[in-house]
Amino acid sequence: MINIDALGKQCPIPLIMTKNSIAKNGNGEYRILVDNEIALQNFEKMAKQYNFTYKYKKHNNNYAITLGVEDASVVSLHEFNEQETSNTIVVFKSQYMGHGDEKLGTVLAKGCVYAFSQLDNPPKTIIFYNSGVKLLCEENEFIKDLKALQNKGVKIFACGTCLDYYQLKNKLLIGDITNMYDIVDMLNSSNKIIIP
Amino acid sequence: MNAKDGKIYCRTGGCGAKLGPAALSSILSKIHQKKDPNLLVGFDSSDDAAVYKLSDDIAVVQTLDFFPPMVDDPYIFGQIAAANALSDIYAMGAKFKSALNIVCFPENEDLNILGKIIEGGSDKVAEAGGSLVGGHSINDDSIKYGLSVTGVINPNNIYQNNTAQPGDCLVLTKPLGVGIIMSANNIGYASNEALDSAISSMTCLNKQASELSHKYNVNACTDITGFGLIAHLIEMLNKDTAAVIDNKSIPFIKDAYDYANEFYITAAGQRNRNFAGNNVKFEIGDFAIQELVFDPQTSGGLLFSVQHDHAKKFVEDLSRYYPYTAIIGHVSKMDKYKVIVK
Repeated sequence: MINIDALGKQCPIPLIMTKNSIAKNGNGEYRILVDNEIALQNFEKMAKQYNFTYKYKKHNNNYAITLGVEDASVVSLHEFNEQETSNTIVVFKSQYMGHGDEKLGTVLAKGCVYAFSQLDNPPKTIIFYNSGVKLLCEENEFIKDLKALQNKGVKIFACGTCLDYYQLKNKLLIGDITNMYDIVDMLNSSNKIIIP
Repeated sequence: MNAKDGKIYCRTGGCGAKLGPAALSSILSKIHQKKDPNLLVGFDSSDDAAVYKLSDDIAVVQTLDFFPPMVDDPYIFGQIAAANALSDIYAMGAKFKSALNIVCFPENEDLNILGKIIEGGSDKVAEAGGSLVGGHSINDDSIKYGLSVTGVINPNNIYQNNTAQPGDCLVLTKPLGVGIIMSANNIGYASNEALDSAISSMTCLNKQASELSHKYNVNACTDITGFGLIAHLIEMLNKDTAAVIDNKSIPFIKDAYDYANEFYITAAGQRNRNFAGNNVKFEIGDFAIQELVFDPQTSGGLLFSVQHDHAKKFVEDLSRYYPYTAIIGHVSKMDKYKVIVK
């Protein structure tokens, strides 16, 4: 039995959450919690359409729906992320990715940005601070990948204090200069922060 | 909602934000109305706008509509809200004269966004050939925008919406499916093509359709909005008439059909289905078509009940402005069901 909590969610989100779960987990029983009768009715239609068995129980104001899936292949996975990846922030806190050999760390950081540039659904913002800003000041492939990300609408920020400290302000090749208030505001309002 | 990022839509924007038709009719039936012989159309019928007679040949037509955003772009939202509000005037067969802005806006939000919304509304009003003459704004948690609209009409030429005659052809001017496409867009799944089709449909004025219709014997007209095709169609019928719809001739945006099959469907669509209940019989199993006929439309097309032998020419005329225009069925005598979808 796989449980899906769709309380507080409006259609079509509960339906899509369920379809995605079925596409990932295959045949079996799925128990979905919803908090309104309209969602319940939409699940009934879905069950009929896909030939799932359907029953439900009412608990207080919520409904627990049980779907029996015998042929999960009727459902396709949706490229839909509930957390809305568009709000994701990637933070480069140094010029290296991970701890260990510095040369390796630089290679990894560059490879990481390249990989991000290949995503269909890239992060919304990339912030560079401390020695991370050094990455933005060297003309190489890395800058091209960042430009590709910018073209996809990704915002790139460099910490102004850090650029001053490393005396790199006039060498910045890409990105907007920002300050601690804005960085904290961005981090605080994001629902996903990735620190490679 | 996050207007800082230029994103202003909310999940239930557009006409999908309407209260359900069942909720409304239970309340309105209890409201006491003063009898006034000059009030030709009030809210005792489910008409699109109120009509008040001033003299034997002039009546004012009043209507208003406003809702939360359903698209990111404030300028486009303004256009859609205006086209939608004006639509009720056109559904009555009236001439649009003037409009007032209705604005709800958070006071700490970027005023440029509001500027763009109002600019969009103002541009549509200008396109429609009327005047924007004022408005009212209040500070609110979330953005809402629309217009209060005034038109004029000769009281003898009003299109009521429950006067369809048996034998009439039913003509629809815009494709269905914008509600489903907006729903898919909210979860990031609508293609740019689908979104463009929906936006161009929603920003398109019903003005030309209304004006052209006066050349033909139109017995009833309504606009398709939040209650979806079936509920608005039911409003067009009275106790003696019913409608037969041919599912193959219903115009829709192709992507919406695919999205319905993927269950990108709204709560509002299901509420519309519940409202229609046993009044509708589907003789087809096509799930997506069933969803489309209940799909809440924002700034949807006009639905005409036109005398049978006028229909073909009328559709030809309309198609110049509204390429999706189609005869979707006909009006019959009431039998067992209000609407049959074949």
